[in-house]
Amino acid sequence: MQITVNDKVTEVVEGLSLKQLIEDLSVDENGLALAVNQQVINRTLWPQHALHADDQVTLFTVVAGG
Amino acid sequence: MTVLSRDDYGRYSRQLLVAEMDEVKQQALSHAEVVIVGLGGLGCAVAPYLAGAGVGRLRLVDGDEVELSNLPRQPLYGEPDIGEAKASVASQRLRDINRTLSVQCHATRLVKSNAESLLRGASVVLDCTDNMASRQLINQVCYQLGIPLISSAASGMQGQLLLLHPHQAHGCYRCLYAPAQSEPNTCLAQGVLGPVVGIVGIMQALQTLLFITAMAPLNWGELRLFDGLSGQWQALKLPPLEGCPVCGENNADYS
Repeated sequence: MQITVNDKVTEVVEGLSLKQLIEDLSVDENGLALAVNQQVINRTLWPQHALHADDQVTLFTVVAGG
Repeated sequence: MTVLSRDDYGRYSRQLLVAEMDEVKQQALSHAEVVIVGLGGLGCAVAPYLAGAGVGRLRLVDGDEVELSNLPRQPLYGEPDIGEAKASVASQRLRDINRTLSVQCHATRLVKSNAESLLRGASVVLDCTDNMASRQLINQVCYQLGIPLISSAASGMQGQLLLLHPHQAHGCYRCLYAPAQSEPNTCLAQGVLGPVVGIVGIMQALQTLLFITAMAPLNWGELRLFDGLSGQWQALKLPPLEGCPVCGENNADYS
């Protein structure tokens, strides 16, 4: 199925978890946060959150500077 | 109802001309008390606009002194201020902008032991700090005291703005990011470009004015991401995390 990750169309297997997606993409998890369809998903929920076709995943880094 | 003084009509004439503004809203500004925690790049952007707009009471909290490396993005300070307490220099600048205001200067770091007394009584708290520990603490105390919190952050080319209301059923800062997670990016680690932090601080000032005057409802529970490279903003919703130790009791109604 197709999803988008930061606006880029990406082919993934059906029912892939967010945790698995992050591992597959080899993203640096330091400070990483993410949203699916504009809803933030807490890190503790990544292993159980299954992706669906056409989901829009937004990866971003939490910044704390000021 | 007290009408505005002749001086106030003159001073605030341009913003009073804005279709959504009026004298009652101007008075709401003068009766508001805003706490600004952190007087770095974010605080320097937000504070002069609030002072200029006539927010009646400003409480400034920062334990740092002005350093040379602050000057590219902290326009409240100049070279002669190096070594001086940011809170006292900023207080003086804000009084220069608007002598009708009450500006309280707290040249101290906000920590667990003083957080409640520094934040209590505020109409809204603005988190303009530069580290994760302070952000988590401010979030926690604002939820305890039931004070709305507008939190801004910047690092590198990225900015973030988070609108939190303890009486609304959305997530809080703790739901976004756990303290146990590694320290995310700060200006010290990643650098920052002055206008990026300025844009986020000025957006924070605008949201604060909209909130105090009720000119427009705020999208509480929204996290806005700003990308300095594209100039684009993106809005995300922050749902409550079940069992969150900070907002958990208040988040049952989220849908």
